[in-house]
Amino acid sequence: MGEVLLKNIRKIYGNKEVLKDITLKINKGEFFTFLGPSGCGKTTLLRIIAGLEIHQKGKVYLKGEDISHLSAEKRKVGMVFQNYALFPNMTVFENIAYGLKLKGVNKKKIKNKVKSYLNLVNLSGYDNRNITQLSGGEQQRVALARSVITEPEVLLLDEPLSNLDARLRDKMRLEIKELQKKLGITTIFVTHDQSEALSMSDKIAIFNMGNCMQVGAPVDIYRNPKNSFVAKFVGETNLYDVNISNNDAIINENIILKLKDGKKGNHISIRPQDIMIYRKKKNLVNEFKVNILDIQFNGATIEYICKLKNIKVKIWVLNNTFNHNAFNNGENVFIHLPKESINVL
Amino acid sequence: MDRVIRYFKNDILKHIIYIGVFWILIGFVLYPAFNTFLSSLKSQDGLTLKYYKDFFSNKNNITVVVNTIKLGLATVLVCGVIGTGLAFYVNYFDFKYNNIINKLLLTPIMIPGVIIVIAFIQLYGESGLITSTIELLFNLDKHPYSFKGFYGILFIHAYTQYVYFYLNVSVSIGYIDYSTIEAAKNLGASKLKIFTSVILPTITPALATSSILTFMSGIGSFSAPNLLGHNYKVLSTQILLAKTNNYMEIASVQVMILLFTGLVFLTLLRHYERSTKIEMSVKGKAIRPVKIKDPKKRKIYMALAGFVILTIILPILTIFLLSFVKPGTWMINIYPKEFGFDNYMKIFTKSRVFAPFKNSISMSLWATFFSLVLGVPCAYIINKTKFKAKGILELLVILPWAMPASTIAINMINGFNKPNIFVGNNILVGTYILLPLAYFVGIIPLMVKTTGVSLNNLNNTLIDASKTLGASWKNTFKKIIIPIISPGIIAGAVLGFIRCVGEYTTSALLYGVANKPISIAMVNALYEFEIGLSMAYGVLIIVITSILASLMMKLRR
Ligand SMILES: Nc1ncnc2c1ncn2[C@@H]1O[C@H](COP(=O)(O)OP(=O)(O)O)[C@@H](O)[C@H]1O
Ligand SMILES: [Mg+2]
Repeated sequence: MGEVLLKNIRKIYGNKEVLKDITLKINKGEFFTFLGPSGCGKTTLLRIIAGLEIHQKGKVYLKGEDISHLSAEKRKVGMVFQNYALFPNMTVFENIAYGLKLKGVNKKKIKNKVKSYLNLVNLSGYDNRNITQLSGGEQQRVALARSVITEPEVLLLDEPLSNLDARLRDKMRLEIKELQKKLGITTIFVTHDQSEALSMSDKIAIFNMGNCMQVGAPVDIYRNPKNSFVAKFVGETNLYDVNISNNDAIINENIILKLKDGKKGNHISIRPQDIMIYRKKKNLVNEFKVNILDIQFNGATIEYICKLKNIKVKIWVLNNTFNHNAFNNGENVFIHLPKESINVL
Repeated sequence: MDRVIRYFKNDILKHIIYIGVFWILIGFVLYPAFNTFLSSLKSQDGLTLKYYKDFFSNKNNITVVVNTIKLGLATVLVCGVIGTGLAFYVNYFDFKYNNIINKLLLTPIMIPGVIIVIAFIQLYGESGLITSTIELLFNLDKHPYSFKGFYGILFIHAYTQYVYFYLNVSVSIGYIDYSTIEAAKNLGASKLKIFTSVILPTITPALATSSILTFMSGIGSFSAPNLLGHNYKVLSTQILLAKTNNYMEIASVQVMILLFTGLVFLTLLRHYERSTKIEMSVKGKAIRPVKIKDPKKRKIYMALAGFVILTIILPILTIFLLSFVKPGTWMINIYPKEFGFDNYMKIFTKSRVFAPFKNSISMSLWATFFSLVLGVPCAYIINKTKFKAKGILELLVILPWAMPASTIAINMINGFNKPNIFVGNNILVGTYILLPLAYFVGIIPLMVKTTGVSLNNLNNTLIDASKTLGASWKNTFKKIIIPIISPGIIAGAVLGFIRCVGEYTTSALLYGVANKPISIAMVNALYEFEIGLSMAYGVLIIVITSILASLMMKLRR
């Protein structure tokens, strides 16, 4: 298993710059996720790593070795495609054995190894099935087994869960993660779904319009987004344009928020679950009187949309025995935005 | 540097292929057609409409044009009724022999038209087996019917050309949403109302498409009018006459009129097809074949099935049976009495008799080979690339589809009766290769279409997946690309070969001593009263085409 280093990668289609100077390091054995909206260049970058796309500038290193000039079949990079790309002219067994056969492994070894990998992805006994007889989840597992059986240095997964229904998606999240742990393989996972990224990854890189906006552990990215794009894209948040002077953030010239010392920027972000809501005034810093516009019940949480002068504030409260039915629509209440929860961007 | 060279090489190869494909299509399709157009306008003193004026000032010619259109329309009508009826018969009712009936109903595509015409003459002609039997049974001293002229031709067209309607309507019946029928029933709609408001709109596009195909083959049909048309003259037979008498300008004018008629009909129906195109709703419940419970109705249904099977099998049986008739033994008797292998022996021992068989096989192989060489790259460019002139390429490729066989033959003569730059300034008229080239032009659309379908099955990510699994380009080609696309290509090649091997129309217009094909030999044998020999040729073709067809079916699965 090896680490991957991308250095100043640029990719241009026609006159459109799809990737703008990407530099990233993916450590050995890491589960690394490229997260970003559709069209931001995730697939393109993945295909560059796999050697399926030629980039104009920059270098790809695998285990410290420059592989930029190597063609795809020589790279030792396994890939699972968004549509799985299983060979329709082959059975499950033949699909999984394909890579080994090309390597000239002997028949008996192939047979045993395919058996054990079928077992690994919970498909024992599926050897002779046709691809067309498989469900989406089963196809997914065949594709996984096929790409890891040759023991590649890196495994690339391009939105592997996007074609599955919601229930199956949750199940496959776990299965993929488990498989990755068992094999200890360096994995790059592409998705546009932030909850998928947060729940599965060791590290996430957030992409937007061909730029890498931030790299970090899920908790890090969630708690400390570097800019307004990341703040908005990862998790839900209250995001406002502000003018800052003397540690005061001024929204719409009439709302003043106290900040921690020395923060600079044009936006502030505060997560809905970081805001306190209560009836009795407590005379705290950053306390405001608001009116409840809307209440939405989400199961584990209750969401309040409140009006503060001419902005809206979203607040989440845990729906436990104490908070249940605490406030009513139209009621005037107080909210508190703790200084330390406010991210200045 | 390495990469630059690879890029460059690929680019050169690509351009060579693009140029090659256009060279062939322009050289063998467009340029000859254009020459026919010119030939219909050119006289010693420049361009003129004289030939058209002459043509239309002759009453007989007008009759020919009217006859052609009448035959086309009548063919559409008859085949529409039969084909649609059969499609519902097979797909709407649940009956255990439906599968066999379905296969049988498709056999007429596999048998070259000229063989069927000859078989029909042996059955229903003046001294045909069925005709004589009826006379014998009812003690008639007159023929009970006359199997020639308009109705004779139409009868054969009904038998050979219902397949378009049958196939297309069968497919569209699958699109009928059974839940809408149930809803209509629920709302109290009558059976007629259900048919006109639910079923008819769903099958209308299929009817329109089949009408185009049937009309085209109806107006272009040659073997039936030629062999039993008698006084009923149509454009395709007149074209042969004009060509035989070396009036190429007249033949060209007739070709242009035939082409024009086809195009007008095509445009009209296309227009209609567009305006009626219905949005397929989200696929609901598929129609379930209905079980017939009433025993009386069941009997009627079975009788009908028996009749259909008999009608289809009878001509084929006749061909086989008559191929064993000893030469010269069946002149006066009503039924043949002496059978043997003499006709087959003759074909396989006398080289003069064997030659047509050999010619047809080799010319069809040539045509199929040419169509592969052109068709596969064309299909690839059309389906898999972003080539800018793709639209033009597509148009050139389907052009032969709008040309009846006689048109293609005349175009070939007009294009290659003088030095032609597309074939290195050679004259091809009078050479062996002209006829295979004409066959080739005729099967271009078929080849490109079937290959295109299978290329579309080849998703690009399959190639990528193969690469990331460590396959070289060669291995990917061998293990992924070829296995996936070859069934389609083979199917195209087989269908193309079948179309060529018994082809009669272009053959009649273009053959020479060196390349007399089997269809011509069959007709000649018929005129020389060597019916057994003629039928033996027919059996050989049927055997070859059915072996090929069943091989193809095996591969498709
Ligand atoms: N072969 C191509 N030719 C031209 N543009 C392309 C091609 N492939 C991708 N693009 C463009 O590159 C951008 C990034 O695409 P992609 O990497 O597929 O995004 P993502 O996977 O993040 O959705 C998109 O704007 C897309 O339109
Ligand atoms: Mg993508």
